[in-house]
Formats: sequence, structure tokens, C-alpha cells
Amino acid sequence: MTDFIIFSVTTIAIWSVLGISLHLQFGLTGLVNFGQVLPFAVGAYGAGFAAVHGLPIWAGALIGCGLAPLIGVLVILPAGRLTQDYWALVTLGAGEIFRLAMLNISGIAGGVEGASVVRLGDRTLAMVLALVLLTGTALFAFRMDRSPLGRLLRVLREDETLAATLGRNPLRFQLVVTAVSWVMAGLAGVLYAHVTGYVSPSSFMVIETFVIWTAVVLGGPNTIAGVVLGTAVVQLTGVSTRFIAQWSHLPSELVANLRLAAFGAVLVLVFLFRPQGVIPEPKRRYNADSR
Amino acid sequence: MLIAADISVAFGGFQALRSVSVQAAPGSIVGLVGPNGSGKSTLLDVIAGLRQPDGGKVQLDGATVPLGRPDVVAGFGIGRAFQVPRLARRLTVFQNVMVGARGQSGEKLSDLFLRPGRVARREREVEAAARDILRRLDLSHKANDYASDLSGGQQKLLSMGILLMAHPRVLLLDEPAAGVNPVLIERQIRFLRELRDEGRIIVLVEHNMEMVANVCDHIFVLDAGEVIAAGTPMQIRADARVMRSYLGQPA
Amino acid sequence: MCRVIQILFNTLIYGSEIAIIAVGVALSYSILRFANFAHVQFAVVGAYTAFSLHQYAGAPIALAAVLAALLTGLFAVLVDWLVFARLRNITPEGKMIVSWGVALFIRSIVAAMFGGSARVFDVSSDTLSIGGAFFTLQDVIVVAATALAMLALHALLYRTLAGTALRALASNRDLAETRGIPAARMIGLMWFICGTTAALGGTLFALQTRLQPNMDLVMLLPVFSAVTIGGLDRVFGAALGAVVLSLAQNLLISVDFGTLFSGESWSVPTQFRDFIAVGAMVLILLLRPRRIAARAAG
Repeated sequence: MTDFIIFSVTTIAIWSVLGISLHLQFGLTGLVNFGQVLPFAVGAYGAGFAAVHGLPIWAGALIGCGLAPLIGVLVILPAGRLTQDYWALVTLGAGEIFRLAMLNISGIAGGVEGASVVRLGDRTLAMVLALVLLTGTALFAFRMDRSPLGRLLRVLREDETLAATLGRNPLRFQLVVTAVSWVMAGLAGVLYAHVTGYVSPSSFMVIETFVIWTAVVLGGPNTIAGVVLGTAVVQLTGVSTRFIAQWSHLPSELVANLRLAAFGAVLVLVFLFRPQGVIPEPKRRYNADSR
Repeated sequence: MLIAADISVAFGGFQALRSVSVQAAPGSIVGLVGPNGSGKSTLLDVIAGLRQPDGGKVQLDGATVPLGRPDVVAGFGIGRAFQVPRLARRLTVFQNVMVGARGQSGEKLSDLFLRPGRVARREREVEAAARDILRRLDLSHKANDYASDLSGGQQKLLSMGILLMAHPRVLLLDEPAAGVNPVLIERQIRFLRELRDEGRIIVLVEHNMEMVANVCDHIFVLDAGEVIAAGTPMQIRADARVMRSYLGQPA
Repeated sequence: MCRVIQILFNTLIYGSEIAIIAVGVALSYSILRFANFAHVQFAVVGAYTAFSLHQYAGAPIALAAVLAALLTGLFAVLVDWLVFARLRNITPEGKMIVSWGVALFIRSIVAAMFGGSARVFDVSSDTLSIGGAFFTLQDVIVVAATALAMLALHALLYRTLAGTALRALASNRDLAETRGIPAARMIGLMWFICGTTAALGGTLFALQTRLQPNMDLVMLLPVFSAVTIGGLDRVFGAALGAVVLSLAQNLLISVDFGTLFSGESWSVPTQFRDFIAVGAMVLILLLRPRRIAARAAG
């Protein structure tokens, strides 16, 4: 039981970091990233690359969380000027390109089979590290959220042209947000690789991106608390799939598919009935009368 | 002195502006009038850097204003308000006004984490300035409402307020009086005169002829992408051709 | 020479399958102004329906394909009625995200019903040869069926009153509605067209390869790449984009770059098809930023 709790908390913490990263991009800035799994995969493959090529763990971490924002900037530079439809397509495509590259180029980290990396044997340590990463990410995001920068990013979300006529370069701020949030997701990827002990292309399918989206949309894309809450719900259903299958005597593949179907339904129903998610963006009040 | 010279714009095969030149002196209100589709809003877009013209140039006080770069143009102190106000609708009125201020240290990631004191100080200044502007616009009681909850007229006032936070030299206003109730129009007119007397340049696109004749010092009449008449309100009134064709009044 | 013919054949076959799916994405984008990521699921649903009708109910394959297309058309109308019709007023981003929700739901239900393993249509076909290039009778049928469907769609859009109404909605919705075009009914028709064409494409795709719930991801990138190449809102541009993409893929895969540049033989591995699809999409986005940007502003 303790093992299960430790595993659940670790999983929720890592995926919450991915959710917060998406919160900064979508909830705050309005960037529709359909390739959120990409920086996560890049981080994990940093670790995988280091393991395969005999580099130390810190080098893998550095490669993973350094390359993630770099790739993010490369993706957004051409796409930044485009409408959101194209931005969604480009990020989706970039994520798949990376996965296909890892699948087909076995020299990087094992190709189809994937690669083993050092597994954190002490599961409590893994949980603590995940919680430290989550806390750091949440504090950073919270500071951004409640600052003049957060206010401006919300203006970008609502109307890019308005931000431009007020003297701000939308692309510059979108680049900053992408870099920051992709570092976060990259770090989550590095930690994920060392928690599971291996990296494989099958862990970074398009579906994973939409598991993150489901969590963020369900909890409320505009608040950090909402993102963590949504991730907890979504990941708890994930880690308990096996138990539900045992308990209900249904094949676990069927349960897994029904779980994903439920996520699809959640995405649709939340948009239909509660577009702001479970925890809506609070209104920030100012005193307009005092001298 | 704001000068837009020989501006030409074509959308596909349609010539929206044909070598149009206008100028406006500091401390004056210049009106752009003409029927729908005559190119008035397009001209404002070009000056504000929102539309890349096919030819022509824009100058402010002798310096060349870059074309097609709205964020850079704003840095020259040129502010553009839109016919359908552009606002951050899910932010409050107060937050909208605050965004108008330039040089906010808290918008830099490095300052946010390394110089929190400086960020807090600047934020208090911005708050105080926003409070003043809202008082001037008589919108203080709406400060904590979402921008989307304001009436059309109040939204127009708000978008002017956002611009004023940046202390602009030039205000490009697109039909500020359209759909606004007469009481608010009175307030707008008073307000425009105050801004003019502060030495700013105001370019006004407006269909409300009473307002144009009332506040403008100089008027350019556009039709089909060309300037067909220019002069003081008195001169324009006397121009029979303009009156008959475009202003719908018997000469 | 026979290599060239073979490349052209392969281009036409794969291009047809992608084209017939892609036209629906462009059609719905042109009218509703959002990229419908659930569209590819109509292809999956259509393929599984055709499979069930053929394998379990014993319908001849041609009849099964047509019936499946019609049923999927109705299914698309149902999805609109349940979901998209209720979301007309949210942002395009919101609609895109919802369309992913719909996609996730449909693909998971299909996987739950039929299991994740691959199935193969129980049809065999003779191999033919022209000028040294090989293809099967089935290939000919795929290309012919697509061509027929394209002609029918073209006739519908350009020769009928309903088609004129659809095109009017696409070019200016407000104007079309003030002129009395029944938008709700026309959008229903649009979804029906999207469902039928996608289902037909999905069935052909499954006939040529295999049937499995994951085939949506195999089709997704080439389809959206084709639509991007053709211009998101141009129906027959999407079809042309599919053929262009298919040509690029088949050319790049079959050219022996090794012999061209060094001595050893080396070609782009076939697994890199999707690379080429996404690469083409990104290239197009880079080459045409101005056109897209201008639309964003206007």
C-alpha cells in the first residue's frame, strides 16, 4: 500500500509539472501546443542518450533540459507568426517527428527497443525529487502568473494585435514562455526516465499529449491548483487501471481503452458545460479609489 | 508633426489607398472623413504599423517611423484605438489600463526573480497611474468589472485610457463616437480637447459630422482611396462637391 | 522507365487514399473555421463498419464499403448534433481541443470493441503488370473509386443548389445567412459529406494495408500535411496536396541517394514516410507565412 502511494504521488508530481508547463503556454498565453509530449520526450531521451553513450547522469540531465527549450524555440520561430490552427499542427508534427526519429535511428538511444538508464532504487527519494521539482515549478509559475508578465501574457491570450499596438512584440514573449515551459517539461522527462529506468518511443505517443490536455482542461487551464487537481484525478485513474481490471474481471486492455474514452468525454463535456474547468481563474481586484 | 506621405495599399486587385498624403501638427485634431470603404481605417492601420503599404512613408517629428512593425511604432509614441475596441475581455478594467503602461520591469523574467523590489516599486507607480486615468475617464466605479461587461461606449473610453497610460504623442482614433450615447460623446469631446491642449496630435476617423465639425482643426476628405478635399471645417462645409456627394447634405 | 511508371502508380494509389480523407478536413475548415482532428476517426469508423458488414454480415466488399460510407455520414451528423453544434460560439482553439476529445473518445471505443490487434480484409486480388510496373486489380479499384467520389463531390459542390449554398457559407457566412441560406441544414449536409468521404478513404486504406485502431495516427499526419499543402480551406487543393505529398514521398523513398553521391547503395528507409509528410507541411508553412499572416490580420 505504501508503495502504491509513493508511486502515485511520484507519478502525479511528474505529470503535474507537465500540466503546469501547459498551463503557462495555453492557460496563460493561449498557445495551443498539441506536442506537449515533445519536451518531455526530449528530456527523457537526454537521459537515455547519456546512458547509452556512457556519459554521467548530470550530463544527460543537462542535455535533456537544455535541448528541450532549444527545440521549442526552433519550432515556434517559424510557427509563431501563424494562426493557432497551424501552430497546433506544427507542434503535433514536431512531436511525432521526434518520436519517429527515436524509433528509427537506433544510434541515439536504442531505437524500437529503447534504452535502459540508471533507475532510482530508492522510491522514497524518487518521490521526494519529484515533489521538489513540482514545488519549484509551481513557485516559478506562480510568480509569473501573478506578475505584470502574467498580465501581459493574458493580453496575448486574448488579443495579440492589442499587445502589439501597445508596444510589445508578441513573438518575443511567446518565445520566453516556450523556453521556460519546455525547460520544465524537459526536467520532468529527465526525472521520469530515471524513475522508470528506461526510455522507449512507445512512452511518448500523441495520446500522452492528450492525457495532459485532459488533466489541464478538467482542473482548469488558468490556475496552477486546477492543473494539479486535474492531473491527480487523471493519473489516479491511470495507476489504478490494473486494480479496476482485477476487481471487475474485465481485461485490462479494455479498461485502459475505456479510461481513454472517458478522457475524451471529459474534454468534450468540460468545454460544453464548464469551460473554465473545476477551478476557474480568480478575479484580481484592485482598489481604484485610494489616493 | 506627423506626416504620412504617398501611402498606397492594394488588397489583391482592389486599390484601397492611392498615394494618399496627410499631415497633422502638434496640438491639433485632424479629421479623416469619407464614405465606407474610402480607406480611412486602412490609413490608420498603415500609420500604426498594422498594415504594410505598397509604397509611401510615415514620419513623426522628422524621424522615419518603420512600416509594418506595430510594436516598434508604438515605441514612437503612436497609439491606435479601434472601431471595435480591442480589449483583454477576460481581464478587469483596471488590469486592462495597467497593461497600457510601457517599461514595466515586471514583464522581464530576470527582473521578476532577481529584482523583486524594483518590480514592486514600478507596479505601484503603474497602479497609481491607472487609478488617475480611470478617474479622468469616470470609470473608477467599473475598475473591477471584466472588460467584456462594459457597454460599447465605456469600452471605447477604456481603450482610450489604455493608450493614455503610455503618454502617446499621437492618438489614432477610429470612430470613437459610433454607437456611443450622447452624454458619453459630450464627455469624449471635452476629453479630446484636453488632450489637444496638452500638445498631442489626434487623428480622428469619424462619421458623426457634428463631432467632426465641432472638434477638428483640419479635415481630409477621402473617397475611393484618394484625398479629394482638405481644409478647415469651414472650408469643407463650403465645398459643394464634398457636401453633396459624401456628407449627404444639400449644398 | 518501368521504375518511373511504378513510382507514378504508387503515388496515385497512396495519394488517392489520403486525398479522399483530406477533402473533408478542408471542407469543414472552410465552413466552420477550425481544424477537425476527429475527422480521421470517421475514416476508422468507416473502415471498421465496412469490415463488420463484409466479414460478419457477408455483404460483398463493394456494397459493404458504400453502406459503411453512408452510415458513417450519418454518424458524423450525429457527432455534430451531440457536440460541435453546441459549441458554435467558442474560440477555434477550443473547437480544436474538443475535436481531440471526440477523437480520443471514438478511437478508444473502437479499440475497446474490436481490440487493438490488426485485422486484414479477406479479399484477394490478381496482380497485373503494365510496362514492367506491378499493381493489383485492387489498386485500380482504389484509384477508380476515389476518382469517382471526387467527381461526385465536385459535381455536388459546383453543379447543385446545395453545393452553391455550401460554397456561399464558406466564403461569407453572415452574408449567406442573411440571403436566406439554411445554415443549420447545410452544415448537416457538410458533416454527412465529411463522414462518407472519410469512411470511403478509411475503407480503401484498410483494404490496402491492415485494419487496426491505431491507423488513425498513421493517417493523421499525411492527411493534415496534404490539407496544409493545399491550403486549409480549399477542398480540391487538399486533394492536389495529397497527390503532391504522395509523389514527394514515393520519389524520396525510391531514389537511391547512395549511388548518386557515393558508391554504395542507400535509400531513405520507408519508415521515414511520415518524416516527409511533416517535413513537407513545415516547409509549406515556412514558404507561405505571408499569405497566412495576412489572413490572420484580416
